Amino acid sequence: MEQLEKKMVLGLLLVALVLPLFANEYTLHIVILACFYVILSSSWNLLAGYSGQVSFAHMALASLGAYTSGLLSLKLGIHPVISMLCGSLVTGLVGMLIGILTLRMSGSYLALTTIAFSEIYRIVISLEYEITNGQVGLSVPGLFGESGSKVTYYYTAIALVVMIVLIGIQKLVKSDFGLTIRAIREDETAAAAMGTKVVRHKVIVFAISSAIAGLAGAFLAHYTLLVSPEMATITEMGIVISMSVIGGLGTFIGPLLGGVSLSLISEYVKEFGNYHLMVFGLILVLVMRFSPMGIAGVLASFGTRKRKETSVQQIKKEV
Amino acid sequence: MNELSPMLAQLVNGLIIGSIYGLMALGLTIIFGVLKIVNFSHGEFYMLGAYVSYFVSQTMGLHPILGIFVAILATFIIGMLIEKALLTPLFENKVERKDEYALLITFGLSLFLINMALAVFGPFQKSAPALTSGVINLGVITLSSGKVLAAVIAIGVLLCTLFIINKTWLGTALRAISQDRDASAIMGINAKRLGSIAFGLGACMAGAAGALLGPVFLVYPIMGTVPAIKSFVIIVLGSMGSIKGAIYGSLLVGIVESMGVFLLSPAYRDVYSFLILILILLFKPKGLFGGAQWNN
Repeated sequence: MEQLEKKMVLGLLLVALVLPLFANEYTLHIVILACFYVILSSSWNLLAGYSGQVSFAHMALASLGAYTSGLLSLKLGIHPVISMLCGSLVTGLVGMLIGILTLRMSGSYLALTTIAFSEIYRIVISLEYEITNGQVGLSVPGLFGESGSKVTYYYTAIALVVMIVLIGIQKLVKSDFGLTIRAIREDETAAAAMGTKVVRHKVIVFAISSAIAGLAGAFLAHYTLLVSPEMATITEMGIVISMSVIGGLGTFIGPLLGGVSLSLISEYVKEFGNYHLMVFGLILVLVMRFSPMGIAGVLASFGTRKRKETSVQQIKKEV
Repeated sequence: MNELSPMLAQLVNGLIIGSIYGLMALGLTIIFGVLKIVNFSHGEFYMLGAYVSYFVSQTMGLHPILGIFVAILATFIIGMLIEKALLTPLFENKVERKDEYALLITFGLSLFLINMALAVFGPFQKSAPALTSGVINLGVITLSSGKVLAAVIAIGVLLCTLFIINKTWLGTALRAISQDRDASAIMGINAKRLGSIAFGLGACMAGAAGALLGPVFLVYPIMGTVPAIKSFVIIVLGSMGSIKGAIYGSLLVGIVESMGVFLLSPAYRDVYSFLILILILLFKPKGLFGGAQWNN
């Protein structure tokens, strides 16, 4: 699996490197959106897949990052790079507060509170039109100045962000901290009995993954030049969850594959109406029911079967 | 007295809506008590109930009250089928992390049902015919009789459910499973079948709430989200799994909402319940009614 994972990541990296040479602006735009979803589903996977905490507020937090960064750069004239970092920081802090509030209790409390938070947040930003410009959305300055047709700049920037975030998540998961959060996922009581500070670890993971979500949201805001309540809907959350789960929860490659494939699919079938969301929901349910490891799990079982076959053939040869 | 009458009207309004939310919250509580899961597609059963009663009363031209009973029956059957198809692996030890599985599969179901409704029924808001027309004049305040009838039916369904849970064999068996699934299975209770029945019962209470509130609000695919979130708040408020908590919690949420509308601002109607949730989590995280004992 590790081998296969490495090969696929290298392949994706290669495609990403040569893409700007061949692709037109529209394709690059779609790839940028796919990168945005990869960041979100990977960071949600850090939370739900590796530490077992299911949150439904990830998109609301991304939107919080977007609004914070947008308002800072619009009202105070701060450069978008700095305001994006501020947005990420604020989102991380809010995530920490939600975590402190709910992570003392069992898993369902986090899910219940975050779904409420996300919907209430959306209602509030739609109503406070004096600050957020309501449903219409807020026009914010772009990351690379005023003039358009700088898609390659944005592409390079988000590709860098994706790489940093993915490497960071991978390093975190492989570290002692990652081992601890996986231990908590498997058995909270046992982890606590071994002397792990369970709540503290859960809160830290929640804050980190919220901060990443905030960064992604802020980036999208300064790319599309618009922040609207649309980003915080439960449907958007459903898309991100579908990506992680269909790709494979608790794996590195899963959210990457799920994010890229699902966002490409949804972009190219958009003209047929919203049926793709129904199909994503159905696949999400079927994956949970029949193959909980998603695409990554299928790939892994394929890999092991192949290895088994070759070893069987070797034994036969030796005999 | 005249200065107080708008407030009184709001209060009664809050109690009426609260009693219908109570129906939804009780449904969640029954599912949580027996299956130990939170049903994140609860709002979609509410939506399905509203659509079924809308089609019975509008398209087929039957009386709206008949529509409510058809909605209850339909959501009960759909709920039972869904439990059989999706949630039985929870109890066959095929699933590693049960909480996570239940959360994600019911959330996926909710995504599927919302978008199926969008595809099948279209995004347009439909107004269902009122249960009855006219107003009831109580001197100080006047109420629309459709709303009052909805509340009366809601309380009727609520009492029926409480009767089933407390007085019948089925209810005794459900309570037994909620206390100890393995022990009750040893005593000869078919926990699998009763699990489906419990989920169906919970789902049909959401369906009934949808059918009752459909004529009051409008019928559209994402109508279930906000009521579902309110019933989540109610079950946290009233201690997860406590029936008493669900009923008192829903009345409290109804009152707080109507007072918020009266005293602060009507636009933020849906936000007040979230403030209660935060206060509860800060000061009394186990809810107002202590532990998760099912029959308290």
